[in-house]
Amino acid sequence: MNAINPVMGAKAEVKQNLEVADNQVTVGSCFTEAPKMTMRNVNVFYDDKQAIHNVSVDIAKNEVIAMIGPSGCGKSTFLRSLNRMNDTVESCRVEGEICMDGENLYAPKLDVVELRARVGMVFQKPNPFPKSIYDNVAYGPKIHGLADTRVDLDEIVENSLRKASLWEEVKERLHQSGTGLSGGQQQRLCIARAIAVSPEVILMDEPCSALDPIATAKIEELIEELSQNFTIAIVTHSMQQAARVSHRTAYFHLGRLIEVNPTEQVFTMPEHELTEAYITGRFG
Amino acid sequence: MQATNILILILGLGCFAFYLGRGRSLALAKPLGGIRHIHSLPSYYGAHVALWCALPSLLLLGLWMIFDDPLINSIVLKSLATGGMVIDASSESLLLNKITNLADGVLPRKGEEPALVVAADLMLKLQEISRWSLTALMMTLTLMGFGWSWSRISSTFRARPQVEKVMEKLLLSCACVAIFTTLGIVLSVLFESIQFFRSVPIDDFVFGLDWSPQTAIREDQVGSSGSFGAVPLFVGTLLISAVAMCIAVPVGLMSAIYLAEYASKSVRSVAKPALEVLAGIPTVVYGFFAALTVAPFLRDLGASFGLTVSSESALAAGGVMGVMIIPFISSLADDVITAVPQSMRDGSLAMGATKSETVRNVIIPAALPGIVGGIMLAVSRAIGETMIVVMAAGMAAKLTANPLESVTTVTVQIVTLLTGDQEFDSPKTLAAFALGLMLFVVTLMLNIFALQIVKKYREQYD
Repeated sequence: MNAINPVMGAKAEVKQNLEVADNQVTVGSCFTEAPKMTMRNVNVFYDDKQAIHNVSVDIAKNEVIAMIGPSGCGKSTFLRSLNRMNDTVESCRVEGEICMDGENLYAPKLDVVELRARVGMVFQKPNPFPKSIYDNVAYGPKIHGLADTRVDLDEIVENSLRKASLWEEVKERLHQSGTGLSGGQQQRLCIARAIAVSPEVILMDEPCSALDPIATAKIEELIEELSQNFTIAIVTHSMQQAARVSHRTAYFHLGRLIEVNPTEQVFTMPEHELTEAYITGRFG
Repeated sequence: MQATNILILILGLGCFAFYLGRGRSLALAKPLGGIRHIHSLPSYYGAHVALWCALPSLLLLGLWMIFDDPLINSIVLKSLATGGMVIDASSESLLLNKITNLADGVLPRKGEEPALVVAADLMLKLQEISRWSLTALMMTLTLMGFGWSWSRISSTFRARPQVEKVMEKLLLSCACVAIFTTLGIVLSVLFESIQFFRSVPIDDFVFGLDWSPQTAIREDQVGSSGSFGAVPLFVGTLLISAVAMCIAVPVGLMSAIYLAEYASKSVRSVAKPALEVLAGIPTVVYGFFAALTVAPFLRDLGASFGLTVSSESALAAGGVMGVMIIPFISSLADDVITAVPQSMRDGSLAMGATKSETVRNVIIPAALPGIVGGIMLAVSRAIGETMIVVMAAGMAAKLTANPLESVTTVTVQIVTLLTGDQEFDSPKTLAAFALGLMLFVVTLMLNIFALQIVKKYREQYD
């Protein structure tokens, strides 16, 4: 690991050289003590095209890790391989080791249904089901049998909506359609839906990119609250958002993980010249 | 000149005019420095000239062909009447027929009444005059149109909007053809039905429980008074349609779900066309499959269970009809299921739902309006289906809800009432039109209902 790069000196070169070498090593603090999830030498392919090259990183318990990088750098693909959502893409193939609490997620005997209950996901575009608000939140608990009685279910729904700070806005109209809410409310409904099954990890794939600034601020506030109970991995295009909500930031470039460091460091003293070039807005 | 020749000539002139007009605009554009300096593209100028050339005379041709014959006929008849012949309304068409045949040389002139021969000659002469005046008029119109539009070509003339306007009218008139045809069919059925309801009260027809359309042709025939209660027919139709839907809806829907959600690309590329082949089988083939294979099989199967199954049971006809409708439902349902956004699937799968839970709880409810619309369209197809039931369902109008018995349907009765030599003024034949009208109303209402649902569905996801 090349510990401290003379950032200033490298500036001139960066403009010409945005390519990464095949033997690119991730710089910074990839590994943590007591990790929740560990990824080792992960490669992801779409047919023959390799989208992720040899990524190794840890996600610590109850931390918020942000993944940033230019479009098409593979950060969403990487996020989706953490709960095996890539299984739905026929041509996608994942190599390497992705473990949660030491259990390999790609082991043949692993139950994907159970995994996805433990690793929830929030998508870029709010995608509430065309059902009532109540049924949207109750969907997960129902299919996983988390509530034995109607009263239990009511409680789960209320708690989830409260945690997603949506309860006050919708408690009067729980049985109206979820698609009738505003974009920001819909996204918080999706977060409530995800946390209703009490996952251990929540993956967020650009959760605010379809929202206006006020709704975004609410979601960011929510992420901070949620980080007390959940481990969160968030993909974002907004560097300000990464800086505001995350503890650590991972920078992806052309399918490679370039740098992982505490967020403050990434945005003030990036270790790698590519990271520096990206956060100062010279490409991306 | 014959109308066909004129038509070809006019179209040829139109093409020629196109090139002339286009050439003139190009010639205009050249000194100005290219076609960007004239208002429209050269082909629009060409089209403008061609349209002015051809359209007015074609319109004239159309009108002429409508009014030509009646006018000539009335002149001929008038001349006969002034010649002292007595013509009443009933013999008029017969007489005209004879004169036309004489004029065309179909009937030998020898031995005919001299007055008729004179009339035939008059008709020939009039037709000749009509043809030549038509030709002359059309040529004049063509030349005038050409001259007028030719003189209008200039670098500032707005040919494009004019041509666009004509195109719009042309498309509109094509749409009108379909609409007016429908209207014409409805009206013709309606008028015949009104005639039927003059002899049979409408409430006897709509609410009557007995159908035996044999009426006495001769006075001394017995036992065939004829009764026209349509209820047993509609019950039979509904019974067979219900049996068909019981088979088509679950099978069609599930195969659609398989194709849309589970099948890999390679399976889908084979299975989908294979299903659609089923839709390509002529219904008459389904018909004898039902009559010769399925019906006897069901009868024997029933016998082995101690059930009496009629050899022309509603079950056989409905079952085969259901198979026929499967591809219809599966392809429509496949479309609406594929139209459900991928984000819905992702959302559900990311919650840890299995594929079938996702289908059951999210995909089907989201696609439901579209699926219901498809089913409704399939129902109206089942109700209107004729060939299978003609071959496999019975003739006896029985009022029953037992699918093992033989029933008859509206379409079967229409076919039997209208095939063979029939007199077109007896209630027996006219009943077919009344049945057709009622069938049309029922399927129309179903279609409107289905379209409403489909429309509502569209609003949801656009």
